[in-house]
Amino acid sequence: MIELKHLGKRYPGGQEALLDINLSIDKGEMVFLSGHSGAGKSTLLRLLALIERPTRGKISLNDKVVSNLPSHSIPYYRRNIGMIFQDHRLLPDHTIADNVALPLRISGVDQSVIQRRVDAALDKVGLLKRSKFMPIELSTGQQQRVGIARAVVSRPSILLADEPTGNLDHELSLGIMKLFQEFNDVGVTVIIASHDQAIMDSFAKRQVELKEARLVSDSAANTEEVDV
Amino acid sequence: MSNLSDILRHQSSGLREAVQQTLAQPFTSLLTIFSIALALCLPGLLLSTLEQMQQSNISIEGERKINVFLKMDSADETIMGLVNQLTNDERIIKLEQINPDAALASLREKSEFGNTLDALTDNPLPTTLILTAATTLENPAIESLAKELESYREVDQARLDSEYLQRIAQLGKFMRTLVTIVAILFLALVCLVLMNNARLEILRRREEIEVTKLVGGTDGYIIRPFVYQALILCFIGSLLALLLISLIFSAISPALADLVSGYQSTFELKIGQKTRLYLPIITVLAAVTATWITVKSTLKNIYIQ
Ligand SMILES: Nc1ncnc2c1ncn2[C@@H]1O[C@H](COP(=O)(O)OP(=O)(O)O)[C@@H](O)[C@H]1O
Ligand SMILES: [Mg+2]
Repeated sequence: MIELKHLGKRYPGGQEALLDINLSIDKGEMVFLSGHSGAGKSTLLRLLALIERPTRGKISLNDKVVSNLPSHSIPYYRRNIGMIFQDHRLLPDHTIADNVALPLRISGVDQSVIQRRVDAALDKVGLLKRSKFMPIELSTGQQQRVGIARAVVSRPSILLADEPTGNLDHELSLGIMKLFQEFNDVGVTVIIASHDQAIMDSFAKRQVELKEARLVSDSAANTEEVDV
Repeated sequence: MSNLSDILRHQSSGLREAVQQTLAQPFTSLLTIFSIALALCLPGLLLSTLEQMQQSNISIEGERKINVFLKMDSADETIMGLVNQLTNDERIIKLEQINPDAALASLREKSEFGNTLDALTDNPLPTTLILTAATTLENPAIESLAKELESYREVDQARLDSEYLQRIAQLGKFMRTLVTIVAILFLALVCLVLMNNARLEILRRREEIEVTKLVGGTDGYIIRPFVYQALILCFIGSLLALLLISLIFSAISPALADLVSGYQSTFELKIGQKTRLYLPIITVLAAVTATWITVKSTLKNIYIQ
């Protein structure tokens, strides 16, 4: 379970990106973070991944406060979290398979195991046949799928996706979101930031809305019916 | 999985990564290796020279000589008495007597001033005894022996033939200081080259490093390949430096042989054992430390975007 208590983030420039956020997300839940650009969605995900530290409040994971973890523990904390970015952040001079293998290689997994798990992850996103390709040889949608394969290859219990469909058309976006749903179906906690209301509304999942750094609505709390 | 096998696996993957990085940019790697090798040449040359000087010093020490110039008016009997006394002295293992006539004759033979010497009516040269001190005698003991000899009535002067040795010793001291300073300067140069390389490489691979951090890569995972690469480049660089140094020595040794033949010394220039051992070790240690510090501190400045 992820729990945010009175969470606040003020950037060094003075910008208040998050104000007094209280939120709890159950293990195995899938949550959409909605809101306009600048609302604070990315900041919230960055705090969860400990890329930034909160300036107020705290984050706990399974009843353990993690927002004050010492820096040297952060890498190990992150190995339990898969991250997906709008611009997917693949390494351009590495093959698809190498890109996906990175999280396994950093934790020192055996080469034979890496091979097997990378193939399984690429198979899952439908790109097994492209494993020897370079990222530039794939379409944007395919690149995003590689990004997802890299995020799930080490079997994290949490997936954080920041506008994963930002550059894609509706059809491809639906495909990507369905992929997330499949991971959620097997018990992975999934948190997706998006400003594409239509896409989020296509799934009967919890939606949490941010507006000007504040949490303004939570479909779980409102017991609001979500369009399917 | 034991801790040790974890460590070994992390180290070997860092090493593998470093080899890949080195081979992936052959031109850059070669440039760095040559820079290192050239920078190490001067300190290596000096260090080897110093080493050879110290060794040749020892071989000359075996034949310490004292030149004893007797007073001009010494009678033959007193000279005979002195020679007898000295021959029985166990501190002296060899005694050679050079009479004034023989000395003048040999001078006349060697000298361009033969005619000038002919003009002399009296022989201006004293009788000279050349003593060789026992090898067991230390330098101070030889000096006090010379002093003792000088106190004899028939002796005018007893001069240690060790001026050359003393000069060598002074030169050695000077060389040691010089070698130390030059070695520090050039070692610093090597470190700066590698530190600069590491910084540029981190900036070039910034995206890759950020992503590595995002997926849970530790600083150690990121730092290891850089450190191993510095190790590889420095090791090859110092081997190349040793090769260059021996080439340089073989190029200058004929000229040197002419120079030192006048001193009847065994002095010879070649790479010394200490140079061969310490040059790579010290270079690699310095480079590895410098690179580790650079990468660690540069990583602190990389914020994940
Ligand atoms: N690194 C940063 N430094 C300063 N201000 C930032 C930084 N990142 C985001 N912000 C500011 O914080 C606010 C929230 O940004 P962000 O979390 O990116 O919103 P969203 O992802 O919802 O578009 C914005 O006003 C943005 O300008
Ligand atoms: Mg954003």
